[in-house]
Amino acid sequence: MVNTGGQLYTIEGIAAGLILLVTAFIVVNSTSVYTPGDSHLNDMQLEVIGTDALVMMDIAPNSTAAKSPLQTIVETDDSPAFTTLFRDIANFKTGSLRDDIQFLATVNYVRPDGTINSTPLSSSSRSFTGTEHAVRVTKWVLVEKKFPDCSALSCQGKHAALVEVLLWRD
Amino acid sequence: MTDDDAMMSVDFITGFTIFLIVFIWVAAMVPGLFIGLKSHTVDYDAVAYRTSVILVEDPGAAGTSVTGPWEIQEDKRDIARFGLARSKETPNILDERKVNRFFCSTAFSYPDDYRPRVIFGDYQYRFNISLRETGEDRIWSVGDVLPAGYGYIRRDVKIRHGSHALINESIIKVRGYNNTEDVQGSEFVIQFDNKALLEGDVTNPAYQIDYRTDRIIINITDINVTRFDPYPVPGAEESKLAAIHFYQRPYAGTSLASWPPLKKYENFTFIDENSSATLLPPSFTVRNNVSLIFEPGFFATMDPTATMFINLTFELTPAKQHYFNNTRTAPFDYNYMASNVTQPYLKDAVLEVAVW
Repeated sequence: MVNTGGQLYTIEGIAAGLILLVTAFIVVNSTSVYTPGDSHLNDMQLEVIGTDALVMMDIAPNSTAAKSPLQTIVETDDSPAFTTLFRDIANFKTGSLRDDIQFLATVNYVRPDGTINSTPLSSSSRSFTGTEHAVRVTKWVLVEKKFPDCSALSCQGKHAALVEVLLWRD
Repeated sequence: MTDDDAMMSVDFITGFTIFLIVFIWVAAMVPGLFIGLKSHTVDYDAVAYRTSVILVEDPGAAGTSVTGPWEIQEDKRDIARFGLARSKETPNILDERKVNRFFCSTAFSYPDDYRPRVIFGDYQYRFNISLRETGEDRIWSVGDVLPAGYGYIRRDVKIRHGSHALINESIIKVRGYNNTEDVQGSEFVIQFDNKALLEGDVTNPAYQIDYRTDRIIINITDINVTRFDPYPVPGAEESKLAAIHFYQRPYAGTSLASWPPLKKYENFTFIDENSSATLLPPSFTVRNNVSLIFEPGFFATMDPTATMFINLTFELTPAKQHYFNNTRTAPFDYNYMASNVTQPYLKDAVLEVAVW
């Protein structure tokens, strides 16, 4: 009788081991932990700059100024003023080189019937095509303004409007 | 029969070998899974952001053994944490005094004084912090030259500049500070209604005049217009600012009490027309202009509800001539009226933090 001691005849075991090996390789090789190491950082930096810029625009330069520049801009629909002010604040750096952040700003407000309307406020020199990797920042402002679709006297007085800005880099 | 005691099965050896190979291989691949987390860039950017938040949104803190904000502490060991914000309620609005102190290279040394007070962490980060106002060439900066691959954040801020009073020829004439009555001495009084300044119409710390922590500057010019002939000839007359006294009157009270400044402040700065900054109290000759500069903290111990008076006493030769005074008129009020005092104002700036 043939002694089976010391024989490697469990070929199924070898096959299972190889399958395990291949599976482990595929799984480990195709898995990655998604970290904020890449695009999220750039997004965060843009978001911080945009948020800071809007906050700074909504602060009056001194105690005698009744309104902030942002309130005045929204109330008067002063698109060139927004473009100049936002561009200067968002792109200013301590060095001699300026940043080149592009933006598109809109004002959102609630109509008397409860629906929300959005009107363009300003944009940078390069228009937004929709393919840019843009971040969105917003700022609520209180304005004394009669919006276009507001014909009744009840629309007088202060309103909350949401200034929304999309920012991106080329 | 063959004795197989102490023999190891080939099956077992093969299986165990395959297991070991797979185990080692998989274990060797694990660090690659976290390559993103190991990135220094992520850490540097996070530290840069944290540092910017501390600088821009926090007013900083002094040690527990001292009173007053960190920027008026003379000993840097009494400073627990840097922070440039004017107050907790006004993020992104930096205080000019804090900015000047923070970037003062003689007061603090890089990096040892900064790391434990604004960068934090066990790792010995190097960094560069810079600040610049719009329209200005000057750049405040502290730190190393930037290498490749550093963490970075930029914050848009405003710098709050303090107030100052200018008492010039037009104010002297309009307010009657060239009093023509026969005054026996020449005294000029400046008052600070502390309660009105701190609890009046202006409550936003960004615009508020806080004499306790602000640098107070009072410029008096054109004093010689208060003289009459025959004394407008230079050299024919002499006047000295002989003394400056401080008083306070309690809220709703009538009695005046002398108020001594803290000993470390008792020599404050004055600037005469033709000389550089000097320290009082030595009596000094007044030519035409006088500037009084009280450093932040000078009035820190003043009662916040009292009215404070600064009395300037002039000595004249010859005596009893008409000269600059408001003895028969009201004290000059350091308040929120733009005609009296140039109000605090905010100016755009940008702060950049780089960490590596």
